[in-house]
Amino acid sequence: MIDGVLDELANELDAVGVRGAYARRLLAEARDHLNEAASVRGDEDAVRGFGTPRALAELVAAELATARTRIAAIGAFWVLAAAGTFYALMFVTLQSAGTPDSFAGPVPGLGALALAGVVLFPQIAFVAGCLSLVRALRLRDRGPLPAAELSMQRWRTGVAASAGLLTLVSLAAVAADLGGELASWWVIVAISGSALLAIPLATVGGMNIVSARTRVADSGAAETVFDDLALVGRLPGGDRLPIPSRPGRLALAVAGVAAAAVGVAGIVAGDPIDGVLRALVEAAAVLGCYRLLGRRLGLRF
Amino acid sequence: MQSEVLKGHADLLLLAALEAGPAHGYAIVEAVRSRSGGVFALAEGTVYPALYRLERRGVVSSDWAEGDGARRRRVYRLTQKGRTELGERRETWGDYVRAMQAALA
Repeated sequence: MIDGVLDELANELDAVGVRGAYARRLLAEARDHLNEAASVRGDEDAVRGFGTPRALAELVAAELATARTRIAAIGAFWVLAAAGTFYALMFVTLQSAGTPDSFAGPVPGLGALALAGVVLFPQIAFVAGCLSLVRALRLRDRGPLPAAELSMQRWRTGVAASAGLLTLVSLAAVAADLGGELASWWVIVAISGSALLAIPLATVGGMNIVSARTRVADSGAAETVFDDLALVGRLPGGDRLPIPSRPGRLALAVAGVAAAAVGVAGIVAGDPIDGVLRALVEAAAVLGCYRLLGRRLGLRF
Repeated sequence: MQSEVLKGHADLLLLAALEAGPAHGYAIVEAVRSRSGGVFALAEGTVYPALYRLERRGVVSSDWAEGDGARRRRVYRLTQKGRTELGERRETWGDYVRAMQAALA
């Protein structure tokens, strides 16, 4: 009877994607537990008290998926922090490395496209990475999470890691395409640093994908961005930030703030027309990303 | 007691059961049952994923040990972090119980 339960448990674990050392350890402990219980209470009572193999396998899958998703999210944030520091250093030193014409490279349009990527992708990586980290930390003491919650967490981490990788690819493309007009040290550092940082970033992206292999049965709902903002929106003294309470209005507010920041930077740099144009592009990019990724990232629902 | 009610407090019960000393899964389940006078009957298999989670958080550690008849068993023990957390959670729970009793009196 006990062997039958253990076989069933092994099959159920396999069915939900729990395999390898984790499954072997659980099966070994389940065997020990059932044998000990049977020696005191008999096989039938031992099996009944242990619970059904399916319920246990589903619980184990949910626990494992939750832990792996959380580890991938936190790992991605730290790698992105390192990539962000590298990106900032390259961006700051670009001025001293040269002022290339973005259309002067050997591949027509590649330089301009790469420069656009260098501006756009870091913003996506930053926002998705922060959303991912906030959610992972906020729910860190909770037990197994529902499938929808884990899916959203993986999307946030996946988008952050992908955008981080695209940032590095764009930076390397700028260096490769416009290298003739840039200092050679900057080109070498940009390409080699991007290649080095792409390895851990791709690794955490892979961990994020692997975390989806365990199938979670819990059909509960995912939380929204407003649950995250409830945590970070508190001001000293107990007051709250005046954050819009509807997803569309929140997106408009964020687009407005980002556009204003870009516009002011343009005005400060002495080119107000260019500043206004960049501000409009920034607002359009924010709203476009909200439209494209908002539902997956829990920003609209 | 209903398993849904127990689920939210299972971690605290497991930590408390390990306070007396290292134990394997079956002994932990029995400790919870006997300490609660038979009221808290955990679905026994569910203690293992909970113990793995506590181990990942560093509040519990485990290793294989030889049991009766040369059978190997996974033995769990509280870490220092686990003892600290148990103390804090016990205090929080005590406050909650006192407040509840006062509210219901």
